[in-house]
Amino acid sequence: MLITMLGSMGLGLVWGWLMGSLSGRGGRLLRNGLALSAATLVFAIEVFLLAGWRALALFLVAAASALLLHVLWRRELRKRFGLPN
Amino acid sequence: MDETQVASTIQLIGAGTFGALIGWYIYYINRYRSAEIQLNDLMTLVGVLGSGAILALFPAATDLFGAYGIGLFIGFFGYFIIVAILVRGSENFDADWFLDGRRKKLPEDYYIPEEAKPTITPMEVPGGPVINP
Repeated sequence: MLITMLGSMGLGLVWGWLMGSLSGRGGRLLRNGLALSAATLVFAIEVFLLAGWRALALFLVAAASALLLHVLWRRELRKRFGLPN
Repeated sequence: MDETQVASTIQLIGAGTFGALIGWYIYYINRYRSAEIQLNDLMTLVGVLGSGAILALFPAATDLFGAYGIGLFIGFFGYFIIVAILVRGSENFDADWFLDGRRKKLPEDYYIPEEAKPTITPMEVPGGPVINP
């Protein structure tokens, strides 16, 4: 049970970090946002089917946390280093 | 010794190692991907990370999916941490490399071979990457 919970968190952290790196690329924010949301829904269904609703909750919290962390990290880098000339 | 327990442990290690391999490779693919996100990229990611194959490989209500997730985390963030350590230890890169790929100019007696694969966008920045400005 613990392994399943940790694994769901791990999957959520990886997916949240990936979402952070993918969402900022390109100019089609709406399309990218919808595609990422759809992909997140696929993962959420999979986690629910394989591990239950508690794991699903952990997955979603971990994904949101990693996404937030990634966005904050990127903002901090931009603040510190700015854009190239 | 309980044979079922041994098999289960081997299965857990296998699932975790499989996850680590996938996690490592996903970071690698994402690092060298073209700048503009395509629907195909997402489909590939969804397919690799959590497709029907994962559902088929790891039966519900077992710890195998959990071991896969832990391995995925270790592989993915292991790659990131190693890159961060290498960037920190390098004289040619700083943390701003993570922003847009910027780095120091090559000295006169250094060159990049034609066949070397460029790192396109470690992270997004408007205007594209800075490669050997």
